[in-house]
Amino acid sequence: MTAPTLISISDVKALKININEVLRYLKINKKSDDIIAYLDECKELVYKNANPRGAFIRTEISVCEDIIDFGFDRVESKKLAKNLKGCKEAYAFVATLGVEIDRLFERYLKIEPSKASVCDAIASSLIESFCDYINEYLKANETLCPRFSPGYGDYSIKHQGALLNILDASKRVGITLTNSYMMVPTKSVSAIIGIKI
Amino acid sequence: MDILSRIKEGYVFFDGAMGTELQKYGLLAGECTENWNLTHPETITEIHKKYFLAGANIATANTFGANPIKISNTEEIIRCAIENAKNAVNSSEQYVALDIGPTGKLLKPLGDLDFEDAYKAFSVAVRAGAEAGADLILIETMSDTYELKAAVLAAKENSNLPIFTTFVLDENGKSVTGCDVDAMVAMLEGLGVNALGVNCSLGAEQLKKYIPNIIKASSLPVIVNPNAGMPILCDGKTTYEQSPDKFACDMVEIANMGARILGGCCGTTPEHIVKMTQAVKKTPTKAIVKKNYTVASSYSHACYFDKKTVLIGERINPTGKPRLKAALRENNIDYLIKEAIGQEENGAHMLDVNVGLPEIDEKAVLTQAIKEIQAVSTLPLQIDTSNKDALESAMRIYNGKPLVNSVNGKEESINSVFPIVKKYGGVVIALTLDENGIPNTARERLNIAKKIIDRAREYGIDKKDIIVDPLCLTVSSDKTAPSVTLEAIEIIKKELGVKTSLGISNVSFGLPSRDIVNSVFFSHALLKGLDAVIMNPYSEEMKKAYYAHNTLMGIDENCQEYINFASNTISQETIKDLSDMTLEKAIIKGLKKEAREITKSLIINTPPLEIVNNHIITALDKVGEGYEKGKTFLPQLLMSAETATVAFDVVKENISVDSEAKKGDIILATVKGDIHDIGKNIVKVILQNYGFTVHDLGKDVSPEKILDYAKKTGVKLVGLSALMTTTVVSMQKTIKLLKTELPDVKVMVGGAVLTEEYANMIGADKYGKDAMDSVRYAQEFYK
Repeated sequence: MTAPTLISISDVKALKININEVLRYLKINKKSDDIIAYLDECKELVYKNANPRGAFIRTEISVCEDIIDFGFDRVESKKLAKNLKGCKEAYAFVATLGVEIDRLFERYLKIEPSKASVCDAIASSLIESFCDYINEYLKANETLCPRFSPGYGDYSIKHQGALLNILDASKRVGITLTNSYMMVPTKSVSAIIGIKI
Repeated sequence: MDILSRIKEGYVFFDGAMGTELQKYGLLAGECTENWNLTHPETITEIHKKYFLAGANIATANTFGANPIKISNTEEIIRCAIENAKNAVNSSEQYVALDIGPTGKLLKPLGDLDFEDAYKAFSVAVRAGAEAGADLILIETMSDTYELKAAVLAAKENSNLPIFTTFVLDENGKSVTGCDVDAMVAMLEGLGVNALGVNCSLGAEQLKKYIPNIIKASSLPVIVNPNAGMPILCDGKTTYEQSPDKFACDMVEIANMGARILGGCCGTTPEHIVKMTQAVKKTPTKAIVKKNYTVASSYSHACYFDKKTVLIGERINPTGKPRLKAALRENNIDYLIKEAIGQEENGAHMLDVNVGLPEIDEKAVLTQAIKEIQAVSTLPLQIDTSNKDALESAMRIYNGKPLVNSVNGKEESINSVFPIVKKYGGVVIALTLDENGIPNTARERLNIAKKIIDRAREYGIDKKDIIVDPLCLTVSSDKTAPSVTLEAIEIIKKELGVKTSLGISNVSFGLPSRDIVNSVFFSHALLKGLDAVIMNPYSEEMKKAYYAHNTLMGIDENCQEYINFASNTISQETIKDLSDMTLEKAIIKGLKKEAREITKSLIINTPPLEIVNNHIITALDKVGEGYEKGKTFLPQLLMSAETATVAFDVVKENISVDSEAKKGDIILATVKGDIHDIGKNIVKVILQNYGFTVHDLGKDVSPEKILDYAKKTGVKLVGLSALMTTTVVSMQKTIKLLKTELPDVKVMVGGAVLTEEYANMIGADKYGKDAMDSVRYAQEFYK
């Protein structure tokens, strides 16, 4: 296995924020000019504080019944095994918006919680957009399975550590884990993506 | 020859990667590298020998991840690792470094690792390494200044070994936690490390452009240990850095820039190191130049006392501020945080933090205030206390290099302040007064300043880390006072070559329209070259003087700062038409400025309670009902709540309405293990708006802490938040503990993963589906 590939993006605005998705997160079902203007203001704040970084690695896998062997980790999960059925290889990947986003939330929670809640929704959309960007890159030459993250279904969140470890995520991307397996920065995603033969 | 003397002689070379080599010997991906010290000691020694043979002077022992947070047998592994490395040494110019990498966890408040726990973990590694006979400590691959500070303190306090530190830069020239080179250098030099620099993340070619910044800022030998051959995908293009020849070539360039200590990180091999040492040795060394910057820093950036006068916000100081006093007594740190952010947004460059009140535990409150302010403000802080213990505790946990306010010419002050400043690193404000008080002449004040500077030198504190405040007395009691101060600024700068600072406002004490006097005096001081001022960032007069001065002196590039300032001032002065706006409408629409203005005019003729009940609460109720019916959205609900707070604040400035408005007490906490805090904070704001007193215990709070607090205060309603399935377990534990110990306490719960059913299952009394639902329950509870 080679070293993980580090992913960065020089212009964060190349990542689009889907406003309709943000409105859905905020449970806002009717748009007004006021709301859109407010969202635009928050969008700028999120862009300014986001530092999208990620890493991926390609690894051989073997799936036997409900056990998946990644080489760096053995996972027992029916749903993941089903997801990876027939795959011989997979990508492990992580992506984050960086810790300045968390600091932005903390700051606005103290002075203007409305902005914190809106920025939170926008950041959720932005990290999705960043993951899609990475997905697009990876699927250029092959067909990929849907992303599957630790904590989803019966893929225990306790496997988060092994996944971050193989990607050298704390050192190279700045993603750390708390004792309860939460990723910090909070706007971070880790996942396995099976490669279809 | 010891390593520090060796550095003075010429280049010193670090080795390359350990992991990359071990993989050639069969290390599996994801396997614990450090275990190989025990299982394959000969292999480790062999790799160290290869690097020594390649020309490296320092073998980095295989202890990167060896700390109790990552592994269980830290001491044993470190002992073996140092021994394995020492077995490779065969010359007096070969050294062994104890390698200390990050814990892999983020420190509080954004993460869940306590600063002192990080310190303890590093201390275990340091003691083991020093005992095993390491020649130096290398603290490397750090990207968080806070964790780095914990590691450096552990190294300083548990060994006498030289300390080398390297941090990680990304493509923007900052660490992933947002720290720039200047801030990193300022903090590390303050802490007294022996060499500093960068490693990992980027290859030599990309790292190159940031090396001059480090050399320019630092007086210490600079270390550069880049990666090689690690793939980086930037903007859709993958680059591989790089062959041994190219690596060597880039390292020669880096040596030419003035770096003294060179080596490799991830992906570098003995071949990289041999090529590098051979090529660099032919390059003459550059002198390491001592810099004389006066600089303070935060977690993110440095503040240089240079051309432009530094504005230090004075608002976090209880003297003459009844509301701040009350906030401190109630341990309402949020109030201080709002003051901090408000001053930052109004142009302050640094913030003074003073919480000195006789009736509070200053050490505890100052430490907490600094921790919380530095988590949300980017500005460097000035720690303002006359309590020695409070100063030490605050400097220890400060994330950067602070300003210290203050020392004076009294022996007692010098002897208590300087040892602490020397230990933790800081810039000190020196007041020109001594046992005989404040002298009447500028010359005598200069003499005290001179004495303080001389005494600082004896403690190993350089003149550049002293800023002299020649003090300013009240003009209404002594008409010559201002001119003495101005003269003192001039001669102290000229004759002693130090920076100066002044607390301005004292000059106008007892006079009407003090701002006018203050700002003109400030202009005069600026002309004398005043380097820093402690002032009120909300004072328009002071800012007018400041921005105009900078423009007139030609130090405001393209007059840009002045133009920005002036255009903001004009837009604020535009008179708004408030004729058909009511307070109720303003709150519903979330218009804060309007709400403030209307409340100000209402308060003249309307009793405060009437404003609260007939205007503010009515408006909030409408918004709340709209939200419950799905017509108003969460951000709007919050904006209205914030606007109501603005109106409340105006009312409170005029009369204390607290006792009448209070509806009951509620404890809120995000449970142990959970660091997502947004939901809980939203509920808090809304509850406060409805008149409830919220005791916010924060996030990641243990069941025991919640129980203790409930016991201590007797509060009968507790709200808990959890966001993840993994942390609902702690919620259940908390409820169980509360119910066992305090059966009459009611618990309401909320959070993304919870449902009514789930909440019932874990024994909660109420599932709050949203903020308003919690308000309704609290209202019912306290009816």
